[in-house]
Amino acid sequence: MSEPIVPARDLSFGESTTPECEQEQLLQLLYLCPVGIIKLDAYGSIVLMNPYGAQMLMPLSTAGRLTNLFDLFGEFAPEVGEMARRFPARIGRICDEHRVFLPGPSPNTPGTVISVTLQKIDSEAYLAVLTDVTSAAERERSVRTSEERLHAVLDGVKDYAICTVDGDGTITSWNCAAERLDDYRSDETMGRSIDFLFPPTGSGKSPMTRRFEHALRDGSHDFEGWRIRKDGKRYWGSTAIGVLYAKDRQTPIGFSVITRDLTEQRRAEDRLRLLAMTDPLTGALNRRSFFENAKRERGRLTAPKDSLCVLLLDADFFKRVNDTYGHDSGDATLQRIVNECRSEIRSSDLLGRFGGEEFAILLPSSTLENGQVIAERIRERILDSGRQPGAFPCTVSIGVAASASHEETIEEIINRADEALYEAKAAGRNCVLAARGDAS
Amino acid sequence: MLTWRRPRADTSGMTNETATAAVAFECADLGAKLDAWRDEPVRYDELDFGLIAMDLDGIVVAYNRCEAGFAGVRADHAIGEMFFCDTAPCTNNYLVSGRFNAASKLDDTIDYVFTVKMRPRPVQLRLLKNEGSGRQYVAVKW
Repeated sequence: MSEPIVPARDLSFGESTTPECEQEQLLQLLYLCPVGIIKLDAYGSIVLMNPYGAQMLMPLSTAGRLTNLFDLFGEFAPEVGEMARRFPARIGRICDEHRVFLPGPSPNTPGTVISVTLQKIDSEAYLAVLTDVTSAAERERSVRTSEERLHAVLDGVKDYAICTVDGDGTITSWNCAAERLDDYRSDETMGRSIDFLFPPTGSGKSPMTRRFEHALRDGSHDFEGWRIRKDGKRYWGSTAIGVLYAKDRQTPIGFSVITRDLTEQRRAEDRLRLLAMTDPLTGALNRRSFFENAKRERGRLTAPKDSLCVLLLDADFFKRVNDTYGHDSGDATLQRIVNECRSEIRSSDLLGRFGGEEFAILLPSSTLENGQVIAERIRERILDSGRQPGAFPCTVSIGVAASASHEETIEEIINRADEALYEAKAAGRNCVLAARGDAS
Repeated sequence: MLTWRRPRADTSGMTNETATAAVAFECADLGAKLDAWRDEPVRYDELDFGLIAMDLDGIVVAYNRCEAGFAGVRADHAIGEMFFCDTAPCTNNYLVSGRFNAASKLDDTIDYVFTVKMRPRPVQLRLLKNEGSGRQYVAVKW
């Protein structure tokens, strides 16, 4: 038995000495090449093919044969053959990295993505280069999905104006909420310096430059301040600046600027504060709030001449109003009483609801006489308005007390007003009485 | 080039140990026979079809004379290589290497195309793997 006469496969890539060696090295190069290289005749039949090409194409073959490339692509990428047939020139690039999607062997296995570059090298020949780009395609798809998710988040974020700038402060991205808050479309802001959105601070530098410097130093920077809308109007916002880094997570490449409109929040906070402090029916301060404010006013009395006055009001026979006309009418009456009080007092005076039908007024800088005058005017008003058509007749009794000395606590003053109120009730109601010992 | 091809001997009635190596590509218990000869790789050289024997990682442990002849690869170069990646890259897909990875026992015959000096060459492959033997085989009918 003789040895088969085959040229040795030379793995050394050493200096070529003979034509056979050279040929072997060239074959070796094609053999190891990690892309498929295929030469086709004018009809697409495979003339030469390296092993990698066969590896990629075998899954397409129906009879275990690789005869014609265009036929192999016939089912999943018929456009390859069509492009070749329609190509007008004698030589030239027919397609470049054209992506072909081949399904996997079963519905559960993932398919492959082949990139096809087809070159006409002669009137009678093509050269095809095939590369498996499945993982590259998967990575791209994954990046696209991430980008889409990010856009969804940015678009969905309705109350935060989010934009990014490069190292010079030039705007590089602009989300939907920013369009809404600032009233600029993205094509009106992209490429511009972000400074036009923030009012100048008076120092030589642009307002944002200094803030960006803070952010670089600390990693981030937060501030509250005005932001300017397209119509020139300003709104108060809370802005957070973050530093954006390159992939190495070290080199800063820009900043994110996120602004939240605080106007509504401030309004909401005010509303909440009001809710916590006031009686929902009448809008008067609730008992606790009245006391807190009253203590504060008491604390402000410093000079010997300073004096404050407390009025305690109680609706007369209120139960009768409820029983005769119903609770809604009772409510309406209480609201009427409070409104009349309000029309006689200043905005700096305190008005609170102490109980079901009891109210208190604190006049922060008032003598007893002054307090009595106001109390009388209030009593008169309430009496008159009770007689108007549509109103439910109801009067009030009022007790008045003034701060006698600066040692007295606010509770003591209120107690004395309460005693005076009690006396007013006993005296027949619908009247004003000063606390005993206070009357000048 | 095929001067070394022998006429097939009659193997009926013979046991594995005594049968000559003129075993057919299609023979039913080919896998078992190949396992039995693992310590006598010279037997593989007497087959009239190509044979590559690998361990379970795909490293070539035997590469017979027939295969060397048709493929144009020296046996001593092939031994120690990863067959599916280096020796025969055209087999590195779900049709061939994927089948070995997926099964612990295998006996599939498929039509395939090898490339010899860049020319497509239709062949038949028989993929063999026996449980517990630590070996897997690709038989090639050129």
